[in-house]
Amino acid sequence: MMERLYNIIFEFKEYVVLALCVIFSLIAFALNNAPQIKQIRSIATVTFGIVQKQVSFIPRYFSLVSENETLRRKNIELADEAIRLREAKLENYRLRKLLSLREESPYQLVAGNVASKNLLLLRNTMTINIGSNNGVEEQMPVINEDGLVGLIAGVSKNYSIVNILLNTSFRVSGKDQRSRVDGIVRWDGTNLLFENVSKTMDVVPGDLIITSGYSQIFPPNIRIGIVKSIEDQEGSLFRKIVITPSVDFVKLEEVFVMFYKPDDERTNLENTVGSITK
Amino acid sequence: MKKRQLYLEQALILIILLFLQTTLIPLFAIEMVVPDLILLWLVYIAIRFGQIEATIGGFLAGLAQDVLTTQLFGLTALTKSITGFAAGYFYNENTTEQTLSSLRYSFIVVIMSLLHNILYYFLFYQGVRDSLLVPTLVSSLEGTIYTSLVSIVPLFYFSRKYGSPWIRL
Repeated sequence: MMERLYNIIFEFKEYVVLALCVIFSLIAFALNNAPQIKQIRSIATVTFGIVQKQVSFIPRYFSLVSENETLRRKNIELADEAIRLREAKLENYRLRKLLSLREESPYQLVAGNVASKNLLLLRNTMTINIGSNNGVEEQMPVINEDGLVGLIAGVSKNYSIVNILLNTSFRVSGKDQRSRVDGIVRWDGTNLLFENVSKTMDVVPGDLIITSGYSQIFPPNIRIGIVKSIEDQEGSLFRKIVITPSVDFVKLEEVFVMFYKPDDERTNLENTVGSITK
Repeated sequence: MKKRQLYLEQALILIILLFLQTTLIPLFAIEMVVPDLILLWLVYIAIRFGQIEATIGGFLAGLAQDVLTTQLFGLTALTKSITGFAAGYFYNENTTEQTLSSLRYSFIVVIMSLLHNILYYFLFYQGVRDSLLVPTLVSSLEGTIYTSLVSIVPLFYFSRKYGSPWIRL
């Protein structure tokens, strides 16, 4: 019996060996999570890990191309992230300046972002993303941390149109901060002018022009611009004074609408006196 | 040379190959695909010694690979055992040297590598991928191509050793 069994095993020894190997492999499968196996594997992995570390200085030649590609992609991603961080930093800086302006201002201010703007026309305007829902009304001044931006010309629920300083229909009463000389600031389509200043008045380049406070629309002491050049015009009593706006309209992104309303008593009085003297 | 001495010699070669497979060979990976030096050795064992030696050799080599990797324990042992067994069908003690030193060796490597990889990846992807067919075939073919290309190296060696031209089936 045993001899016969032995003969059968011997005859099919290859299959018997294979069957045994498969059985042992399946047992190994079953022992996958056994702590002893885990321990053996961890010892082997650590040992070979030490050896692998010794040869890690050798570059992976075939993976260099894909590694380069990955690094290039990473580089682009990081550059993009750097740009976004820089944007955030600049925005943070601008907002901080705006915030300090809001804290300093005696008037209520509502912040808004520029939704669109045109600066190439004679009557330049811009649209901001706050409207009547935010309490904005027509004829309210618009400023930023650098100075006067313009005046609200139209309001919808969520948007407002601003007539900016660089608009031929825009006028504001100004004052030379140093010499207290008054004038009217107006955009002629090319230059921002400080007008109605006679040749005898003390205005020099570099002087700061601010709102005078004579206007009922704008409160006093908002920066308008710096005197850039002065020309004495022949046959005229006045000088041509060109000023550079304090606000950089090209870079303008955030503004404040100033909740400044004319004093009704003053308006009524001026209107009454005005009608009597006419 | 005594048979026992031959086995010891092969055991030593296997240890060296295991070392290379786990340390240096990954440095030559192309898109995560590496040649299987152990399979090249296994085909050699099958042609040189026969089916039983190849089956046992495959089991032991596979088990060692399983210990050294964090993959499923026993998986490589199973697939290498079956591959060794299948490779044993190409054993013919009268044509051993001709087989090893000709393109027949590479041809057997292609067949065995394909068999091994299909078995391995079919089991490996169980429960991991929704579709088994495509990933199994893709991974199997990639590994087979690389291993088959590398099989030219031992082929040259055997060709020089046995002094016969290798361009012969």
